[in-house]
Amino acid sequence: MDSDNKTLTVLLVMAVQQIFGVPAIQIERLAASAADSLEDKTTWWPLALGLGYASSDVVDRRATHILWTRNGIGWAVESILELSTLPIHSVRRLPALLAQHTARVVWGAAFYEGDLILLVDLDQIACPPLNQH
Amino acid sequence: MTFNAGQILVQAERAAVAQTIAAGSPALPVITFAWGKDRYALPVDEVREIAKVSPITPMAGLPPTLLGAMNLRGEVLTVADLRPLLDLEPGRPTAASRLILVTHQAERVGLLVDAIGDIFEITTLDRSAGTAGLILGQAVLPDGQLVSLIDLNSALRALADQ
Repeated sequence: MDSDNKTLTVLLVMAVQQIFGVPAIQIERLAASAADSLEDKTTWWPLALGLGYASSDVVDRRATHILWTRNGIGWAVESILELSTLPIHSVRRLPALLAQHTARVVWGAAFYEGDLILLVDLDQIACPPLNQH
Repeated sequence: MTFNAGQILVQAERAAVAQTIAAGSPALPVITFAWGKDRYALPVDEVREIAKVSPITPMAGLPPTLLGAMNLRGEVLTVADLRPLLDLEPGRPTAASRLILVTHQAERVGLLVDAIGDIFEITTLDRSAGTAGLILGQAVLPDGQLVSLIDLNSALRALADQ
């Protein structure tokens, strides 16, 4: 989060047909497609699985990009929408009733062109068991 | 004139409610709403707003009572469905659905209902008709229909404890 100009740069991605905002600072590199990263298959998972949504082969097949984090974990997403700079005033903490069920993985929400996007903290996502991939 | 068993049961329930009078209690203004074919009510004093339902953003890991978040004029609103707490089938938003906005620990929560009814004053409440502690009682409205009064505090506490 850039405190000087009070903006948050996030990569807007699609997973489980929803828009999620991932802080750009958490992404070390972006693989252009899942196919390009097949050699790394044992170290990436569908973002949907990490967020707690059911995993499926469909999710895997839809994956077009992988977000690689500094700790060497890749999260596959259905598509990349854009890199966006959100004004801090558009970012909201998740209401407590919802936040208590997200285990800090989804820490907030923001409004983007009328949509409500969920802000994800990749560092808080635990690696799913390998046998679920 | 003939009655089937269901009609007789409804008549009997209404008669029982009508005979239960809370002596000396003031009239309670309530707003009525529908879940399926049944009517329920909340005290008007506890309702902040009635809002239309916009697209709800679901989240993984939520219990059946929490549907997700909604953009309400720039506010991230929690959308809840109390029906599973009453062992009722969860509902789906339709064009007639509305959110009854209430406050829980300084945060607003939108309760999904199938339709909003009228505002009435309840003067008679049958407190023997509670369900799992979330129904304060039942009353007969001036239009003759039976309504169940929700215990909002208990319901919100149950939401938070899930």
